[in-house]
Amino acid sequence: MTTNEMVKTLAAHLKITQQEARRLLQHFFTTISAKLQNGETMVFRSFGALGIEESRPIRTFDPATREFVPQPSEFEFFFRPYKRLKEIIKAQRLE
Amino acid sequence: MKPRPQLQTPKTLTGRGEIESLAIAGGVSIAFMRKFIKEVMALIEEGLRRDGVVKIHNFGTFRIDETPANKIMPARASLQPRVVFQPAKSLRELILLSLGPAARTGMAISLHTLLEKYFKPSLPKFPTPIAPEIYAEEFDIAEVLPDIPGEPVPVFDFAEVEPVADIVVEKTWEPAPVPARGSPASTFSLAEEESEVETATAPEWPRRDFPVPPIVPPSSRRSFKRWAWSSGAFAVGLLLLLFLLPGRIAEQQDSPRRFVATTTNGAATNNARPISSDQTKSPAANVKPRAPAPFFAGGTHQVARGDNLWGLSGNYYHNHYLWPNIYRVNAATIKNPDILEIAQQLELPVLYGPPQKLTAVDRRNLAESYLLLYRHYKQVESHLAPFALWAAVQYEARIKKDFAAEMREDDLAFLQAHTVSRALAER
Repeated sequence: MTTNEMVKTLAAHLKITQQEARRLLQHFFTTISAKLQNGETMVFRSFGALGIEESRPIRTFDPATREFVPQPSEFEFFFRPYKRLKEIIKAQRLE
Repeated sequence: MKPRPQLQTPKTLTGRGEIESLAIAGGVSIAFMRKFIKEVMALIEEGLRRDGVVKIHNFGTFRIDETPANKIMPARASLQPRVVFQPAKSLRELILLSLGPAARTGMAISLHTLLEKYFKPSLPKFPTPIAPEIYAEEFDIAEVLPDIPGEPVPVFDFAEVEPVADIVVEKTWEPAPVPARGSPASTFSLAEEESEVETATAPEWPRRDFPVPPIVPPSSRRSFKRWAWSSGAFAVGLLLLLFLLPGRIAEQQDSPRRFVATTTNGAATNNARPISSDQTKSPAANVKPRAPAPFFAGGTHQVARGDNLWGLSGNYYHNHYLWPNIYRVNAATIKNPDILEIAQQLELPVLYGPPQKLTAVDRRNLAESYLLLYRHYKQVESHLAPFALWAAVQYEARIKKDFAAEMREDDLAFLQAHTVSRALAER
């Protein structure tokens, strides 16, 4: 599934033009990325939660200098699917 | 400057406020936006179910990952498929710029580059800062000029010189000072940035042309040369291996085990048995079993400074305690075994077996050698005489009976005291 396919399907289902569907899709995902940028976690009911996690800072050992080097924390994206989506995928795999 | 936002509590997009703002910004009704979002979610679900991958341009990819979550202990990890979100490069960069280390250190450039990269407005570029170290180069003119006696060093006073009007550059624009982290002035909004940009004029700072190292194009000719040389060397090495190695192996297989007595004057004496004429003529003659080659085939040695029998024995026989063997053969020329004369020619007798497994002939020779030594020590009345006798008996027990008449009573008593019976040794 790609963006073009999504645009075509959305236009057909919602009875709007492809141009309008593309604009709305772009607007939707831009808004989500802007909210992610603020550090918010987006939760879509019956779909999943999408957000960013901050790993805790660690210190690593450098054998060359024999010193501990502090490593800053990193940001990682996570997606936690809801139970319904999990079941759908599990059923799909069993088939 | 935008402060680093704290990670907030999750917000639901199905909430009324969120969808409302989305709908207003999108220019559609709230009901339509709700329907639209549901449709999008359903499409992503369908895509995951059908293809396993949903790619959204400039946002990211949802995909089903079937690899176990725990790679170290995969047996324990759940083998259920997981849905993974992989952000697009642009989204990852955006997030890193707004939340990552750039935002933490308070770099003013983050938002600017972000806008420039993804929204592409016609913004003026920040002036490249000139390194202050360039102007910090100060030197004393007296140090540079050579000392001329009688004449004072001219001192140039810059204060006296009137400034030339053409060179004076007035600074019309200065970059805003970077506020400290966490200060209230570090709050930043897009509106402020835009207004600042409009009023600012592009500064005309003196530009310095630094010598840029020329980009060396990959010369195909040089690389071809290198390749040709390396491949040629490899081929020559391979040919040498192919031609020389089989011959070398065959030579090693044919030749008997050889021991060459090297002399100190540099000449090497090869005492390997010469190949007989019938061996060279007919290969069938080789069938009959040969006698095992001696451990050391004998030779000669010219005494150099620092040589002694103990050392020579260690060199040639690989065992220092066989040194009386050399003394026995050269007894006519050696008066005292402790002293050798420089440039003296010594004969090195044959040793048939290795020192760990001497043959009967070797043992007999060594017994005789030690007996000879015993005689010498007895003559010079050395305290080492009983030890030599003891060694002789160790090599050949018959010596004790054969030469009993020569032995002194004290030495015999010593021998008796230090002879361990075989039964006792085994016990």
